[in-house]
Amino acid sequence: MLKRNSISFPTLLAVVLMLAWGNTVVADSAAEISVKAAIAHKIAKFVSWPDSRFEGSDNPLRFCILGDPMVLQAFEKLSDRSIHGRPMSVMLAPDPATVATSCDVLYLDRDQQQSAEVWIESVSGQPVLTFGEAGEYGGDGSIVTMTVRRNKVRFSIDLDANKDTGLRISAQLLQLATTVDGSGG
Amino acid sequence: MISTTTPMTTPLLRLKIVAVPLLLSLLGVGNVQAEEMDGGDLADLSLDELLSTEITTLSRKAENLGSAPAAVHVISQSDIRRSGARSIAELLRMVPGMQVAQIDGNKWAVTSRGANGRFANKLLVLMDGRTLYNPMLSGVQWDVQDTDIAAIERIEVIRGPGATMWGSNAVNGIVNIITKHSADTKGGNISVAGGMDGYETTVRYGAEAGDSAFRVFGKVFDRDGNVNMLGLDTEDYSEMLRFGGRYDWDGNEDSEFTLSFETYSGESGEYRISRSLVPPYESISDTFTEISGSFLMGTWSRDFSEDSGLQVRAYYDAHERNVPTYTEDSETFDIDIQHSYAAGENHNLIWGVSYRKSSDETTDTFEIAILPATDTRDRISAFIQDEIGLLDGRVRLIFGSKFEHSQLSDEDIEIEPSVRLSVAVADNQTVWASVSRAVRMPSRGEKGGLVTTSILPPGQPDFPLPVPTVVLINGNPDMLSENIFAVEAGYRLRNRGFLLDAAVFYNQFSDLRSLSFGGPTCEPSGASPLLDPACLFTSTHVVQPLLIGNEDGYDAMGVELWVSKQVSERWRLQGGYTYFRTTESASGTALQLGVVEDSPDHQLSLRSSTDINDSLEFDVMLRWVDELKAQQIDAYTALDLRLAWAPLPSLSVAAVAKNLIAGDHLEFMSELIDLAPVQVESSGFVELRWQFQ
Repeated sequence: MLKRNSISFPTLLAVVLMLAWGNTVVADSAAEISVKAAIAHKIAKFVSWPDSRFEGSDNPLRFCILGDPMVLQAFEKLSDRSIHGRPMSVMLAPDPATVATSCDVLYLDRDQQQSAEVWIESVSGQPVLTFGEAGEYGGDGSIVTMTVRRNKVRFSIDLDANKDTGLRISAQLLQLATTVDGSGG
Repeated sequence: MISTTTPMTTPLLRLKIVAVPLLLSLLGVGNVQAEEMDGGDLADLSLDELLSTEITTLSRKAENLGSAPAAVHVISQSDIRRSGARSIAELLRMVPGMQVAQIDGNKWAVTSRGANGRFANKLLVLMDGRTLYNPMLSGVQWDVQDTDIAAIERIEVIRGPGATMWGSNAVNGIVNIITKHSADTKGGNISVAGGMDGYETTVRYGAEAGDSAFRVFGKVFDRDGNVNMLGLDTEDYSEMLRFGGRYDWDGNEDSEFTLSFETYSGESGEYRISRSLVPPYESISDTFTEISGSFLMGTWSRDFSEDSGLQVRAYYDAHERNVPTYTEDSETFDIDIQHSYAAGENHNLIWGVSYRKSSDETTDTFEIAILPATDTRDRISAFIQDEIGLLDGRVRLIFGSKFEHSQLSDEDIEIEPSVRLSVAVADNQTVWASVSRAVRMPSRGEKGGLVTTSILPPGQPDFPLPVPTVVLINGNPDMLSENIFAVEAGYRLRNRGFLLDAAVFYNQFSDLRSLSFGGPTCEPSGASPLLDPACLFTSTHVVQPLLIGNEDGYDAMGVELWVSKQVSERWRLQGGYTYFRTTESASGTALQLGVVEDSPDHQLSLRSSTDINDSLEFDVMLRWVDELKAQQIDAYTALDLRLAWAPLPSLSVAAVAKNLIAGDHLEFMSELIDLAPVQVESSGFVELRWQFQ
């Protein structure tokens, strides 16, 4: 790595200008992953699950993560924070066949977009809060879709995707969403 | 270096540099790269704060996520929505350390750290970087400062001097109102509000296609007046029609362009004291001021690399104000260029240049004249600032200066330097301190104004003249800039849902505006009644001039405290306390005319925000404001309540009650003594909001 302290300002400026049309690396940074995880955690606080979903009042709220190990780690760092008085558990998503019964939250990382449809389909109509990321062709059918614009995370909510799930999304959350699609009718 | 790959939403980047790191500093990440940012700390932030947190793709940018070495407060989107406020001035009431008082139905006195007034001249206010400060009579004319309130993303407030970045008049604080990116306001939004106070309707529509997004809005309101000291209705109404729009283009990862405009027209009523040379000399009547204006602004920013970003902003702003006693027609063109780059591992340099051309035209009456009637001015400025991160970013040192040339200043170049330091003493605690100098340049009115401030009828018991006496404030073309030397320090603590923000300051003001008696003259002869008393019997009136000088000075000190506690997932409490006092330091020959520069010693506020259930919000704001001694205005307690219900995702209804407990109460009086006192009434309204795609 260049020791930049030692180069002059004109040299620096030249380097900088040469870099001007350089490519930007698209990979999610650690900061982005951490902020998205924190936002997903906060959003879950604005969502109510049907009581029938949990056997006891101290049963954990189960976050299932599909994606990069760093994403899982980011959620694990949050796992000492309770949600609606319930502890939070974090795990890798099991196979699509059992995800509907073993997860309350399903977080699909951008890397998983190709297979997202299968996973989303497997929890359709179940009380599972799904998070996805907007890709080239828009959202992946999840209830909450996250995007990054101008270095800030934005989210939109698809109420049609939430139809029949039994989840209740608070009005406070809808106010903070960039867009709210569908009526949930 | 946090902002190089991000849009620079202020022409002078520091607001962003300061404000965003603050949010992040509250995480307790004074020392870390983004990779090491503790997720647990992020969980302490509110959703609003997380949505304003910048993420960068390169870790070295995040090294500066230290704490802000300034007294910063951010009003978030949720704060705005939950306040039920109908105007920008009113929103500022929730900021700890701000002194906000309503003069009548459309005029406000807003500042921080003292020197409040309708023409409070030491607070700089910007909207998306465009100055709202009026160089004619100085200060901000709050009756025309408005927009679609629901399209404001956040309001960043920095108390204390900010002249190093923003230049003159950023003496006691800076407010930057930041509107939403068009892509964040897609779809339609219709809001209709009505109540005891009048009505308001805002219609907005926005859409996004490819890399482009836009929105347009229209807003109309008509607000009733209040009551006078006898409790009788006054016509201090306010009505306004406003259109605006914004277009954003995010061409690629590195380049962005924004174009925005607004145009408005309206009337501000007032309960005015009219003056004449014939009996009754002074009388009070309902009059109104016509106001109109427009602006067009373009901003282009480009990141050359992760280390270097450039922003160019230009705007044209015009406004007209036809007061019964004078008219003003002003135009401003401003262009501002700034560049930031990371020099080495630890330095973040920002520098910029700007040019502003202002021209205005006034017409005068017997009561107010500003000479010359037309004027054109240039303002040329440059600044440079370096931020150094030491000890893995735990220590941040920021220093720099503004260099500013303007015809309003007596100096060829005003130099406004500052040094700021913050230390992350623990992962969740920061202490900071700063020393700075700032100036407040004289206004056009102070240099060339002739303002009749009262007329004494003939035959006063202690002043028995045969003719009326006109007390006339005379502008001083040689008035100097006012100076402030400020020392500040602060402490912040963030610990799981609890937040403490404390700041103390000590300001030394010198060369402050003063008034002194000039020699009286018999009019129209111009003879001195002191030398030739006989002239009194041949004159129509006597003029007693009050001459503007720079003989005043005082020291100001204060303490600002803010605590916030997330009591439960659905309940947040916030409390604020402000202490402020001044000590005269100048000779004492200066007159204190009227009610100039009067701030409460103590202010207390308490806010409670509850989500009763998924669709019900309940908000309470209680504030206590101490007496204003110079104006002899009593302390008061006021309560605002808001209950909002969202029966459908796209529909919400809010009921808001304001200024309860206090009832009809006086908050502030215009320092020009041109308006009779008006008491603010309790009021209430219901707002319906419908959103659609």
